[in-house]
This record gives sequence, structure tokens and C-alpha cells, in this order.
Amino acid sequence: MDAGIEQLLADGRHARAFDLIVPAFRDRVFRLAYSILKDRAAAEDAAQETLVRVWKALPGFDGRAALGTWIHAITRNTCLMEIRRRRPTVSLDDPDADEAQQAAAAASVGPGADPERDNLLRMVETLPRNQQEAVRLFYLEDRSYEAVAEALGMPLGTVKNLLHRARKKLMELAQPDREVKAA
Amino acid sequence: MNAPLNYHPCEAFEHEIADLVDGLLSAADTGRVRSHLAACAACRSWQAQYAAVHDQLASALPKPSLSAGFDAALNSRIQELKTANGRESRRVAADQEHDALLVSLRQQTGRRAVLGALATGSVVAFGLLALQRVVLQIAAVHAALQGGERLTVVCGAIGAAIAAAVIVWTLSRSAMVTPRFVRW
Repeated sequence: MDAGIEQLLADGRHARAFDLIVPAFRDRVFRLAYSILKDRAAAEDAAQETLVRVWKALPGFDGRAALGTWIHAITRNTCLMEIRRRRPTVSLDDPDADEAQQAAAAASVGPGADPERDNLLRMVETLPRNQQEAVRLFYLEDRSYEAVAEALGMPLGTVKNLLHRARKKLMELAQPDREVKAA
Repeated sequence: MNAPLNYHPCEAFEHEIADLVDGLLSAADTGRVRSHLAACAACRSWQAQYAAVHDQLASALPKPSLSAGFDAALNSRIQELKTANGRESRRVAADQEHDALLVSLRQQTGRRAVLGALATGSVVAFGLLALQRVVLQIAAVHAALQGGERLTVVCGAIGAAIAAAVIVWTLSRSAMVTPRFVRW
């Protein structure tokens, strides 16, 4: 699939290539955006913006990186810009800011019909950001480590390690004496 | 998920148990790990709780999908960009056409100036030759004339020479003019 698109790009047939890129990548772009932004509407907007950027930049795609890696990099940049736009005065690398974001996200998980599920979602929100992204993406991407590694631009082993640590942390948090209670 | 947690599976088997839960182990490794689980209660307990977290995440995490109007909205944005790009392309093409026209006009003007100079030179040369003959004939006539007739002929000849010079100068000026084009 990607080989056919890359051949079209090599031939300079960008419009035709883009017509194939959209159905091939839109869901992956959306899922990656969702794993970062954790909001369906925002993720859809980011997916739109990402594909528009891909359309604009396609004539300059030189094939040095794989097409999927290139598109996922654009997706991540688009999402990070959206996060910065929402919180323009807070650094993404600031650990205090990360905690504040986690607390806000945890508070956003409202009461649902399944308390155990709600509790688990709150626990996920307390994980470090890279573990959260790996966990969300893994279960969105049909549990494929390869797809998660490509989307996050990480080695396969790093993704496995992130996911393993996340699950172990959730096992600890799920103990009765440490259960995260609803706010 | 709320059963007491065994935090310490056998170190050598921890990652293999995780891979077993994810279905990543080969048949041979699966058999080996299952044999260990059958013999090790701690690992068996840890594996059960690890698998429970895995299953709960699989069912609890939302799996949103794109809205039905996603493709239409995207196509609309792309068409807007194409239209904007088309306008820009037409503006660039018009600018290029304008520049090419200016270059062409400047080249034509240069050719015209050269031809004008050649024509002016030829006219001046022929004029001088003709003037020489006229002067010689005037001199011959002048020698044959007497008193008032001589003065009349000399004045007439000088007037004709001045008129001819004015005509030649005017023609040469009009041929040498090079128009200047200003782009705005």
C-alpha cells in the first residue's frame, strides 16, 4: 500500500498519492491524535489539520523517512502545538505542569455507569504521559506493538517496556488499600 | 482485580509472562512458560492479575472513531486551498507574462535604435556627397555670375543648406529615441 503511494510520489503525482494517503492513514492519524489529546473532537480537528499539512508538504517529501513515520511526526507536532495553544504559558517539560494536566484530566473523567471502569480510567490518567500514550495507542491499534512503535517513533523494545511498566503500575494502584477513589 | 497482589514474580519469567499475555511467545516458549506457571504459584497469581489489567484496559479504554463527515470536511478544506493556490498561480503567470513582454519590447527597441543609426548615417553620407556636388556647381556658377546675382545665389544656397541640416537632424532624433518602460 505505502509502496504504491511512494511510487506515485516519486513520479510527482502528488494529488493521486494524497487521494490514497487519506483512506490509508486517516484512522491511524486520528488514533495517535486521540492518544495525545484525549479528546475526540480535538483529535478529529488535529487529524484534519495534519492531513492538510501533509497535502501542503507532499511535494517536498523526499522519501528519506518512511511515509508513515513522516505523517506520524506531523501528527505529533500538530497535537503538541494544539496543547501549547491551549496552555501557552506552561512548558510541556515542566513536571509540575504534567501533574496539573493529569489532575485536570482525572477530574474530567466524570461518574459513569461502571465505577470499576471509571476507576481504571482515572488510574490511567495518573500514569506518566508517555506511558498513557503507549497504553491508549496499544489498545486502539488492535494491540500491535509495531503500530504503536511506528506511531510514537520509538523502538519496539521501548514501547514494550513502557506498556509493561504502565500495567505493573496499574496493578499496584488497583489494590484495595490504594484504590483511587472518585473525586 | 482486587485480589491480593503478588508483587514479585520470578524475575526470569516476568517479561515472558507479559509476552504470554500479549500472545507474543513462540509455541516452544509458550510451553516452557506454562510449565513454569503450573509449578509456581507466585507467578501464576501475578500472571492472573496482569492479564486482568490487560483485559480491563482493552474493554475500558474508549475507542473513538472519526465522524462520518470527516472526509467531506477535509475535501472542502483541500478545495479551498486549491482555489487559493490557483489564484496565486494565475497572478504569478500574469507577472511572468508582463516581464517577458518588457524584455521583448526592450530587445525590439534596441534593434530599432541600431537600424535608425544606420539609416541616419546613410542619409548624412548621401547628403554630404550631394552637398559637395552642389557646392562645386555653386562655385562654378558663382564664378560666372556678376554683382547682385551672385549675392542672391549665395543667400539661397545657405538657406537651402540650413533647411536640409534641420531636416536631417530632426529625422535622426526621431529614429534614435528609445522608449523607457516602467513597471507599476
